[in-house]
Amino acid sequence: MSVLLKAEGVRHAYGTRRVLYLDHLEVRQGETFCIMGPNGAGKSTLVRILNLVEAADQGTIRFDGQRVSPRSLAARRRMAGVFQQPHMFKGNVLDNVAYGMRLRRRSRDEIAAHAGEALELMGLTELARRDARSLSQGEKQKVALARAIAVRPELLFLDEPAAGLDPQARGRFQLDLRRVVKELGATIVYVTHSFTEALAIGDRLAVMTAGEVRQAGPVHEVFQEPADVEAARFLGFENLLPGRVVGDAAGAIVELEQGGRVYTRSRLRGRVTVCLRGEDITLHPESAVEDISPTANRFPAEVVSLEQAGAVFRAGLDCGFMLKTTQARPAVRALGLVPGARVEVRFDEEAAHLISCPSPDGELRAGTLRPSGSATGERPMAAAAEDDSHD
Amino acid sequence: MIRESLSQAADLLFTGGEVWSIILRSLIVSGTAVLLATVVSIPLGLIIGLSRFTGRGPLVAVINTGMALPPVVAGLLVFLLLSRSGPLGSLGLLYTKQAMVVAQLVLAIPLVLGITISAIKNVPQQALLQARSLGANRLQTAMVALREARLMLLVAIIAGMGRVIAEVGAVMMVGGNIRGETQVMTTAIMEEVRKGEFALGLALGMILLVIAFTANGVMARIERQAMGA
Repeated sequence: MSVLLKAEGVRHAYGTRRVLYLDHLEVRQGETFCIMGPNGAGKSTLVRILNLVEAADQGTIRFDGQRVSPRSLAARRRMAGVFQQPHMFKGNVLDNVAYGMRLRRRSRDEIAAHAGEALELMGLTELARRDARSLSQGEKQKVALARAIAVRPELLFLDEPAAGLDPQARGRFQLDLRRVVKELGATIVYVTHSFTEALAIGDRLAVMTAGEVRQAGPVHEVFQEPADVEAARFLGFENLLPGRVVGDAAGAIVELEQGGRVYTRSRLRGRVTVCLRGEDITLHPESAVEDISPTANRFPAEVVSLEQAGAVFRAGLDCGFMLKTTQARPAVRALGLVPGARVEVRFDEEAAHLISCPSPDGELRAGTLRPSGSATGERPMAAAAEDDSHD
Repeated sequence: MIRESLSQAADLLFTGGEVWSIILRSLIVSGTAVLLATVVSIPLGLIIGLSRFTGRGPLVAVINTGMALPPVVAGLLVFLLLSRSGPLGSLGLLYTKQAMVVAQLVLAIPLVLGITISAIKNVPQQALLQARSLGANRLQTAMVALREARLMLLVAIIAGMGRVIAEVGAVMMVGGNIRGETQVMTTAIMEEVRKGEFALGLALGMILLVIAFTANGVMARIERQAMGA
């Protein structure tokens, strides 16, 4: 797959606040490239810079092999963007959808044909003559998407387009979006907060924190194997347990700093952090300790906290080391989970992902902002992103 | 006396040809000045409002200061410029309607420009971002800003008109208040009051009030629309 967009050495700051520190990022032709990260990670700034609507302080952007900047009108006209807050231009829905084509001085026939197709694709034909500013937020966002796809962009940027919608509208919009992504066949850069969305439509994923890309690679790989503690924390690994590899069987055996041993499939050695998702932990009655189980990771534990989080319960467990887990209501009821209750904790060896953590304060350092190739001796995350992007 | 003057003023408004020629002259002089100020200030305001360059802040501060420029100071500057010994003295414009237009232009430009810059700066960034993202070039992006700020630009023009039509110092200084030539509403009111002839002064004053009231009404309506937009 050829590279369509490449960013190198991109640095950007607002005043003294550094918002982007990117060594290398590639978007390949035809892929859906997702970008995730906490608020303030620099995702939107990155999208604006890649979309050539804002100039970076430093660095180069190459589009289709050519070096480009916000002044490269021809390159900009091969792209389009949809942002969090859709801005409706004065006029009706059709005027808005035709806007990008009018900027390009396309013929009336072409405008009518492309706008009509885009409206139909988004199910907006009925609303074509409605004042665009009178629409609901969800409808406006659909118009914004129709307006972007009407110009037939080779590269489409979607910056959290569902962020401002209520849960119902968001669900409907995401369904539309998936359909459009499938039908459009364009290269898409998609900023999202939704893991589900990234897994459903993304080919590759970049995780950003504090202006840096911590990790980039195939979506499932990034989800399952975060490259550092910061990425793991963002990707939903609730349990991050520092330790040291003390032996191996089929994989590494990790002696945790808090006490206890965890069996994994990893080949890493030395100081590590064990990353474990709460939902990968299963709870069993304590009396089942003698049961035959395929996993070596079985620990008697005491429930130290239990709180309801929507439809599920979050439990804190003391099994010599502290674990957090998420359990469905039936499991909580069946096990009679209450603070003080005793259970057995189990998780598969495959579920425990290891991150190399060479210094005793490695976790602390991984959580701080630093340039690539920092003194921690860790493999620089930007380098990891670069390696991944050459896969 | 007030009642008598008001009654005479009403008569003058309905029958007096001189009153209406003064009103017309005022509207032509001030209208031309505001039109020229608009032609200069809106493109300039767009450029300043949309660009980032060194010295932009101080420049805007100077423009904003100019919004409060006393009319007599503007008049004095134009007088010095157009007086026989001034740099443009050879044009022989002093005590003509053109000189009055120039003086009012000096007063109107900072006001129209200042409000235009402020209006452009307040255009939602999302609008400009969206336009650029859909392929707008610089001119097309500027047109989006203009379209988004249109109501406030109208306010700028009306405010400019309100300022220049009501001022007296500048036009008096460079126009000379020559009856039938450069006499406008404000200078005529001054002269009539000085003579103790309140009827014409009141008639012109009423027209000025009507103009001010209309301008304020239009501005309020525009602002309401802008808030609702």
